[in-house]
Amino acid sequence: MTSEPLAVEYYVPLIMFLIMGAIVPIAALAAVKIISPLKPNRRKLSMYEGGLVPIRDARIQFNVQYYLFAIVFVIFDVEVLFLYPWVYIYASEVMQRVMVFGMNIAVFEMLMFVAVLLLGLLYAIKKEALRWV
Amino acid sequence: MIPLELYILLASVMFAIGLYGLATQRNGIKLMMCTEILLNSANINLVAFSAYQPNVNGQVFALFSIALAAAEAGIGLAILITLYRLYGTIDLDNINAMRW
Amino acid sequence: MDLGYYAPLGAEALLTGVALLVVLLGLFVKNKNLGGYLSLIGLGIAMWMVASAKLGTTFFFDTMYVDGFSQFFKAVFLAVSILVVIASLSRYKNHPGQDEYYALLLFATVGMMVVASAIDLITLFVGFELASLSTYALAAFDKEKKNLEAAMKYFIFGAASSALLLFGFSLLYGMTGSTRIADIAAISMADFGPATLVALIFVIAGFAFKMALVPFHMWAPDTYEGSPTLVSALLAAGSKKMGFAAAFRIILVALMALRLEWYVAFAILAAVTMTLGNVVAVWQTNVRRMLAYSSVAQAGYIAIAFVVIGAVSGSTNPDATYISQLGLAGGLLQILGHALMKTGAFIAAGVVGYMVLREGKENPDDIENYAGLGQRAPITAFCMLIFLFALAGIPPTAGFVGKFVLFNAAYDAGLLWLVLLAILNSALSLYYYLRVIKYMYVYKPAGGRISEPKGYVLALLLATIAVVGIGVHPEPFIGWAMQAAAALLP
Repeated sequence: MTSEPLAVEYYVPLIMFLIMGAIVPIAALAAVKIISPLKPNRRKLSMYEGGLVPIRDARIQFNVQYYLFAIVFVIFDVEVLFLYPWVYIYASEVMQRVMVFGMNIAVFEMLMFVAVLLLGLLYAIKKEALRWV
Repeated sequence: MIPLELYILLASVMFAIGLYGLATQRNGIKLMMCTEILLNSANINLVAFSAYQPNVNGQVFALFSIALAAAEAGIGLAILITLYRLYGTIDLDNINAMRW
Repeated sequence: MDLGYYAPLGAEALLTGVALLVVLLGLFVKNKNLGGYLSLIGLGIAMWMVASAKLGTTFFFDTMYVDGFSQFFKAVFLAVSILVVIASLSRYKNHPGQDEYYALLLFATVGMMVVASAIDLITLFVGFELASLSTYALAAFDKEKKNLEAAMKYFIFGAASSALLLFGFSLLYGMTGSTRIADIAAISMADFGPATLVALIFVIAGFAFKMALVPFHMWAPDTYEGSPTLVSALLAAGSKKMGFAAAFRIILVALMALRLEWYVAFAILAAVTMTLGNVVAVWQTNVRRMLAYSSVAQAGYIAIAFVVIGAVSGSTNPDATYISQLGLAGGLLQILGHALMKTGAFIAAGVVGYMVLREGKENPDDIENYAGLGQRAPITAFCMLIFLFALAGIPPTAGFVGKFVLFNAAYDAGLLWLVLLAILNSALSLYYYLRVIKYMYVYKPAGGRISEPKGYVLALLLATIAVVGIGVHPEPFIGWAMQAAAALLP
């Protein structure tokens, strides 16, 4: 039981928005169907390749190994991202104040981060994910 | 400076495109691309808001979400590769043994 | 620097270390189950650390907070992981990828624990994704056709839900200029714009996917049916509860200002979820799918906690604080009980799957395979009986305690219609639980007695003792849940 009544008129704009949102795309699609002339022929339906007659299937298959490389690459590539905020703060006073094992805590944290990444790399090498076949 | 509203509009449009793609596409890779579009629309929001705030929390959040999106793409690709090895296709319409 | 200051977060640090160690050892040492035993020891020590942690401290520039609420959830996650690891010791004994399995399981646990402690949106999102990503990989672990289908569906829905969540978080940050939950609560309490309402919709949708509330539940039955059975246990009992942990923190604390809006949303979600979950479960002939739908229905019961709090807070009721704490405590007890009994039920289904697989039959989860289980595998059947009764909410089990406290709070909050609906649903759920029991004890066995795998039996017995123990002796657990609820809603 709420103590305050629910304001129904509060939702009126939302309902209007939903109704309009449903009408507009349907109207647009219907207008295209009604207005545009549709006279397809073989030329029109064929794929456009700079005016040349298309040959062969456009889709060629990559080796699955390629995807494995892509996975490993994409992860290690993006992890470098964390170096940017790290550079931004590592010389700051807060970081200088706190020491762990005789180093600046920022340096220590980055060493931990790189160690975990190295473990991942070691794993990838040991599992032969990086050997091109 | 570009007004904040335009950034939010861009992000909303991207979000709608991603959601539409998720609802209509049935190819595994395309679905993954749609989720990336969704995540990136949120990133645009975060960075745009951050430019109008006194703190950089939004940009840090965007950095984290980019890294997480990469990890997610890694897992998704791995699942798709295994799926392709077993089924010979990544068209999810053909991969639907369980229903109701 | 004083390392002792960080002792309350020792459990997370320890488990991360153990997970990395398991990966590293797996590369060089090939010993069956070494990783499993290491994980088990690590989880045990982590459980002790969680139980003895000093409460009420914040860490890492106010991004993590250790309080009664976070420790309650951490204990639930650790209990589930311990049960799953014990059963896995039998299941993945000579599996070539067992090190990855245990490492992923530990990472998932750490992610859930981080979510339980997070009081900053960035930290919460990172923990959320750590748990999600690890479980995506686990869902495909056996590399059978069904696993991959389950994992793909789980992955797509999971990725979409985290994107919804991130979009909601970005709007919250834009409206309040902060990622800290306390700041968001204070600023939105003073003044919230229409964009905050949009953010609320995105956040609820994002969490509802994880909590598997109808209509965001489509992935759950497929994933729970198709994943390896022990992973289903982890998903239904652990990962789903992580969604609740995060939703309690964000919606009950950060978005308290929008109470009227989410009160209506959760009232509808809870009512629809428990009804649809139970009604669809009645038609299932696949036991794991039935358990999945029952899990959806249970999420509906737990969501009543939101409705109770939304209904009483800010009202003129003099007991408002007490009732909202009681409601949250009921939700927490239901989470604890459901985590234990659902893990147990999935592990029992795992025993049947193991048995059927050895006989070389198809469809291991079909209910026909449960015929005469009382004679074929007496321990499993008895434990399954207890879990099914607990799921239906029959005393003296953990399921009854949770429902009793929760429905009581809902009644005190004046939500009589919701209580009646929930009780009707419980009665309906008894029908399909009894059907399994009928198969196990009334029907003739289809084969001879089988030897039940040791790890599974140990996990089943531990879960049964916990479920019955909470039911027989509920006072300390209710007190513990009340303390956790009071930490979140002072």
